[in-house]
Amino acid sequence: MKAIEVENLTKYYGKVKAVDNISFEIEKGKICGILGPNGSGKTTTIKSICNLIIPDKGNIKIFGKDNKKSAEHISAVFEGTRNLYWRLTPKENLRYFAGIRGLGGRKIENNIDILLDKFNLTDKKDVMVNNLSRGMQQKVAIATTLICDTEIILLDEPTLGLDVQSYMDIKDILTDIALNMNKTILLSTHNMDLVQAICEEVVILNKGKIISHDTLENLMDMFDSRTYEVVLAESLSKEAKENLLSLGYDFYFANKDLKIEMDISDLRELYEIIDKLKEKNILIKEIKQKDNNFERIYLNITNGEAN
Amino acid sequence: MKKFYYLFKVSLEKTFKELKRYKFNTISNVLFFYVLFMGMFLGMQGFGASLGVSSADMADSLEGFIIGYFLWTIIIMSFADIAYNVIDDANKGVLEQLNMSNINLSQILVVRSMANLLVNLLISIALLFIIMYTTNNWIELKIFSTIIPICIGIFSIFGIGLICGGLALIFKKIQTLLNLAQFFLIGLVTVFPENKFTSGLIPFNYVAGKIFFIVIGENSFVDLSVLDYGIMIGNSIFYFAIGLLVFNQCVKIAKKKGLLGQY
Repeated sequence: MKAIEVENLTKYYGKVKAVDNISFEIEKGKICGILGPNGSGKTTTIKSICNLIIPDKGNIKIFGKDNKKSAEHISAVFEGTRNLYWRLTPKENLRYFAGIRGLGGRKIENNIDILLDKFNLTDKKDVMVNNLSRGMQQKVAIATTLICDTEIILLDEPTLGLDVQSYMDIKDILTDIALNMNKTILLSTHNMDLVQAICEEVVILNKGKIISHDTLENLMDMFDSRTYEVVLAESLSKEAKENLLSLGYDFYFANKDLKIEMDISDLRELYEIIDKLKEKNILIKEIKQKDNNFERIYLNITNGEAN
Repeated sequence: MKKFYYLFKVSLEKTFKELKRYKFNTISNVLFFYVLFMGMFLGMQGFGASLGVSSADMADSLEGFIIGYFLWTIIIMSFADIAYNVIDDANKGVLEQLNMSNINLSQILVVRSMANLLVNLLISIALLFIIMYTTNNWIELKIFSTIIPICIGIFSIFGIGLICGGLALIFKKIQTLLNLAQFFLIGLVTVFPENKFTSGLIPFNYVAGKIFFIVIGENSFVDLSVLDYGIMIGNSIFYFAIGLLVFNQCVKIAKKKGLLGQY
């Protein structure tokens, strides 16, 4: 069953085309990442699905129904922690955001306690949100979406600006939601580690257009075993670098030019590169095949490799 | 109906909690209304005495002034609740959350304002007693007879609040308009046209007139005619409906321009 259907979505802000005729679908229970550089149209797409932005063209359906009549199915967290009342406690915020959707009573009170416990916020339940750390505030914001018990959750940059520990906590929470709660989640983020950890499929946007929509598995397979790291004995001179770049391979220089990373489509290319390095008398210390991570794949796609 | 009950309940809880937690703002708000009243009251007394107004006439004027001020505090708070809270919620990024509810945004704002009205009434009545005690001008306040017309008429003020709140969504900086609206609200409870139908066309004006009739004329809400109630209800429905219409239209425009989450 399709949870979200976006069809020919187009949105202009003045003369700027923020989203350009995009279409995609997300099945019920799937976790989908929506990725792209800044200004690629991610937030506009998410807010259009939530009916917070009216598109210029296109249709959005939630479980087959027009999204304007589907508020009871969707909840969302937008950019960081700006979704809470700062002078209310986590418990009061959860109660309030349930209340504005017309929910309350004993069941909601029980669910609030369960959520606070699940999010390790029980001992902070009576502390005003403005006195909590940013990570905790973000947990409360995510909890407010769960208290409404909607089938679809949209998360716009849920880990933005968090420290490592808070990020790990939020990642664990999102993984738990993904694995155990049978929710349909659309996640917008720049954090590829998070995408790799929880998403089953990804939509990649660039300049308002979809440049890739596939399962994470397919995308990983597509770019499998193609990234090699060559560790050099000494850093490259400017001339040597330019020389290598002129060969037309996909080189990435790292660690003060002591490492070269390259994506190659044919293993024989590796010998050619080794020959070139030998020609230039550049000593190779080590060659290793890199684990394919989604960040690399994302960069490849957004750099145009998907075409 | 149950969903509106929960909405009302959490709104009331939030209002009380925030009154307590934004202590400075709450106290300064009450002090502002008190100090402003005393300034005007003493000024009026001094001005009347310098003109040689008899003490009986002066007492009547002061009673009227106290009631007018009491009504003004209620309508200004009710108006501000909608208009300023829209701005405040947009600032906090909560407005989008409210707008994602299965309850219409304008309905949320109105139910929330009704919860706030309850709190504002308590504050205004307490303020009224402090004022009466300080000025030693005691008015027989028939709370029940006064509150019924207020509850009917306040929806016209909600309507004006919705219009201003809607405009704030689109134009963002509308403080000048909001300040002007506050002066306009003073006129609603101080200037009464001779013709009742003219008064019935002005938001809350007819209600304010009837409250004066009840309190100063020592009447009760049962002394109001069916026509009086008809005019009060009609006026409220009219301005409330316009408010809803304008607000919903403004929300639509804000959504088209992608302005809902910005301030």
